[in-house]
Amino acid sequence: MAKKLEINRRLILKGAGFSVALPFLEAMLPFSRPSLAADATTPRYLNFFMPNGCIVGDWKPGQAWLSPLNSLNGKYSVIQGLQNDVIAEKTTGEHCHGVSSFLTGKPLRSGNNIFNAKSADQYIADYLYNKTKQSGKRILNIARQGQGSNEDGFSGVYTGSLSWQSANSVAQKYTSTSAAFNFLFDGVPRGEQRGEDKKITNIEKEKIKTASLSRLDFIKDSLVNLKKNLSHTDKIRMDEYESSIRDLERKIANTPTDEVIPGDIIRNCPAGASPPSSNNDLTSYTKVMMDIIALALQCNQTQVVTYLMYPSFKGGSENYGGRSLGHHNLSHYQNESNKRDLRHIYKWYIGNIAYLMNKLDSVQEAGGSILDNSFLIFGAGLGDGSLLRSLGGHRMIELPILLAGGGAGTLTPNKHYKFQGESLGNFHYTCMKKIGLTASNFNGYQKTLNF
Amino acid sequence: MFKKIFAILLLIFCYQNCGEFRSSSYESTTNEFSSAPLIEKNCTDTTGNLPKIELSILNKDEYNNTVNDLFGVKTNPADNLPTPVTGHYDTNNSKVKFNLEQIELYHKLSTQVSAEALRINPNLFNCTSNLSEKNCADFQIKKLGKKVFRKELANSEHSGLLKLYEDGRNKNNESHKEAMANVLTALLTAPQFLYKIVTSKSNSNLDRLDSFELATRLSYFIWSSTPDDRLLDLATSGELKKAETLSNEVKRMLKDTRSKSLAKRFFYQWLEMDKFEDLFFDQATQPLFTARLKSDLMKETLTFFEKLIENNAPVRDIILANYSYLNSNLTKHYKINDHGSNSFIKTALSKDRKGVISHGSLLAKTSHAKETSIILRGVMVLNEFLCQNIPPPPDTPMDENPDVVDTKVGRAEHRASVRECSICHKSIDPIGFGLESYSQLGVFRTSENNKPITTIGKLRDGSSFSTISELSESIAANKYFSKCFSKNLTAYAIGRDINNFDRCFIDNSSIIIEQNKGISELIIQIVQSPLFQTRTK
Repeated sequence: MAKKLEINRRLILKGAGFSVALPFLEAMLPFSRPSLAADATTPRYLNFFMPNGCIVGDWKPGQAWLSPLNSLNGKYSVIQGLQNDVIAEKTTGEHCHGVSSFLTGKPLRSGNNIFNAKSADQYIADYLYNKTKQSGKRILNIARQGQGSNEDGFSGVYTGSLSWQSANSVAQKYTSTSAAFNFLFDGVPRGEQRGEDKKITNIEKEKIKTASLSRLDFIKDSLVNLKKNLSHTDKIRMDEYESSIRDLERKIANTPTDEVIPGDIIRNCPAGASPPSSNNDLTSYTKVMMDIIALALQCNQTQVVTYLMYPSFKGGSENYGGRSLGHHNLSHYQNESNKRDLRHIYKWYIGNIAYLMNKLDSVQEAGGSILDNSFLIFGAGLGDGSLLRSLGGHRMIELPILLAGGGAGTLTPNKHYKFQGESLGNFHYTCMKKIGLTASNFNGYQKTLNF
Repeated sequence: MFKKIFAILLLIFCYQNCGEFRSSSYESTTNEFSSAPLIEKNCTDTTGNLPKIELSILNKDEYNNTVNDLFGVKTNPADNLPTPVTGHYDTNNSKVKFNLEQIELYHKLSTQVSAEALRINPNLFNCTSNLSEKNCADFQIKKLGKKVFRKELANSEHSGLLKLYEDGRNKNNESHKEAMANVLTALLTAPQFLYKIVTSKSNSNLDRLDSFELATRLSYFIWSSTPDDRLLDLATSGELKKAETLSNEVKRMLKDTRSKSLAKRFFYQWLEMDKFEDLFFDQATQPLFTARLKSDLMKETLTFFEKLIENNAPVRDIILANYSYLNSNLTKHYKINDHGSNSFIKTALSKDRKGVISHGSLLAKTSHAKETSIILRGVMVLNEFLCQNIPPPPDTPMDENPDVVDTKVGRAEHRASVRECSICHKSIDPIGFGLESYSQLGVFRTSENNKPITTIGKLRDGSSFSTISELSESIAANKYFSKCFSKNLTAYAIGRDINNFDRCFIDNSSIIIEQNKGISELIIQIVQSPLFQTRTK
């Protein structure tokens, strides 16, 4: 099997280079293969965010637009009645909160100094990364766009960021398919073979390691003088930089010589040198991202994925499965035809989720399929946006949430949970506990929900 | 039927209160510029209060251009970095926070770039026979260090790099070439390369940039890349600090092809051309909007700006040009006399088109697939050309029944009649009506969906127009246009958002636009201004 894979990669390295995204990914790693997860029951935590909320009453099993999930019955639960306490009442900056506090449960600060809290995915990523001592990536954070629009004095940073590393620091994110791919699979310059193919001896590896460490020594030394001549705030930047250099130094020093390859730590997954390409239109972009996510999970390159599938509060029309529609405008629907278009968009989202779920369910590992070992959350951070009803305008109540996967044995899918205004924060807290985190609360939320 | 459905997709919200919102922050202020007549002012009073330019790391384009200009690396390696949160322009890239994950990416990037540099030029570190190996290394380190760090190496940097080289050579069994490659990788990982460092050598709160820092700011402004040898030489001799030398350098740099980055990056970001790039119209509704048309329309706008710089045209040509750069495909699309060439050549426009506002790219990005949008178009003109920032519509439900009011004029009249709406829409809608003569794809028309269109509008200053020519002239004559353009270009140049204390300088540079001088004069004025040349603590 391994040999066959290698031939595939060589072929691609040699000739194609610009093959279409999907055939390439599938050729690289047929999904009949078992996953490369080291640990028998490594849970995966996957978050998919849809902007602009959902028509009230629409979020329940049996709706036609949920039909892409039909073949996956028994693999997911529909959750109703969660709310984000931050804006359960009408206030300002709803879209900002809808995105940025979706995984934090915290109110945001308006003005120039952004302020939120560390998000659930980041807590879980830290926990799983430390627990499994992975050589892969701690988290893959994807967003369709870098920044969104400002709203009511709240920064556009909020409408474009789900994942927060700390209160004032947005997590590193990838917006292009090729950048995400290279981040996960350590793309090397085109046309070159990957380090592990070169059969580097341990003597050479040791040499590479020593050279890396000397370089970092030079940088640390030169920072001493550089910092003397910097203004106060610039110096703070350089302190951060310096401490990251020290972390890197420690990591390289602790890497066993065997595992050293030029530029980075070795990977065991046969991903190649040529990143996938996609048109930038929303439909093909999303599909390629889903392929990348599936491959990354199968290759155990990461265990946590956060994906802001579209920025909230963005005007303009996009390609939703061949139709040109503007989600935000439509979300303030005023009549039946708006609702039909909105449901077309919902179905498009669900179709993408189902596409990924099917892929993950086809890969077997200890304890079932990858899907069985996953917490796959799909949801929106806002409620109904209708202009026709006085309660409309996107309060953060009645949030549509889909919880798919078996949670490595901790979830019982195929349910329909109806909560009565429980906090989204408590939902996250419960997931965190099921994954194994032992904190007594999550950003102040400490109630365990029954699911 | 379809018309009615899609008419509803238009933004029909009312803006809660334009006035109230605007007063809340400078960024949102409408009348942010003084209305005093434009005469050159002495701005020394405000110089002491200028905001600090944050320490900014090379953005992706800057990184890619830099390694290309230094070593011929053309693989755009920085494209694989995560997408940062930037200021209004991506020249303000000061929010990248370093942690282990981040430094690993940059570390990997620098090993890749240095390997690629040596692959392209295997003789990069060859020594000439008349130098001892140590002297050769010393020479190469000084030369390479100066180019990569964009300044003369400090003694400590020089000795540190020499030590790195010698340790590699003596203790780690590296060849000369390997040890030098390691030096190169170290240079590329260091903050002196990654950041546009501005030091503060004196204790005063306000200082001039040193000549190397000036060369760096200048070349990243005009070329989005590293200073070339000539700029570094002029910085070494201190000559660059002389006003006349600096002006001549700006002119030289604008003639260099690297200045195309101003079109690709500044103008692209100013007019939010990414929205055009992301635009999707379905084929059923807009069968003419093919990939080819889309790419031609983008090329038209970018070529227009490239040529604006190349020909040193006045800034007002952006609004007033009675020409554009079209290929045969676009002349047919616009129904202008076909010149038959596949290249984008300067083409006289018919009377019904003028300036970039009549470019299909701008008109398409402010349209819905089924219908043009007077609101999106009006907001574009106000926000982007006049800096009269209209807040996004609040999500306040509004009591409007589109089944009753289903025409554009009817909806606009409704907005005008409701006070909360009219506050903003009395500025927005009339401009949008002025652009109704263009279809979603920018083709001149006299009707939409078989109904005649209304094109009479007016600007807030009272000037009214009924043709694109008149609208363009109203905009060009509007006192905010020149200030707005100058504000945008300055923000891009210095890599920070513009604030109250900058107004005096912005006013001064906008005089150049009012005098209808070439764009290079404006760029020189910006580069000569204290906004560009000073640093604050």
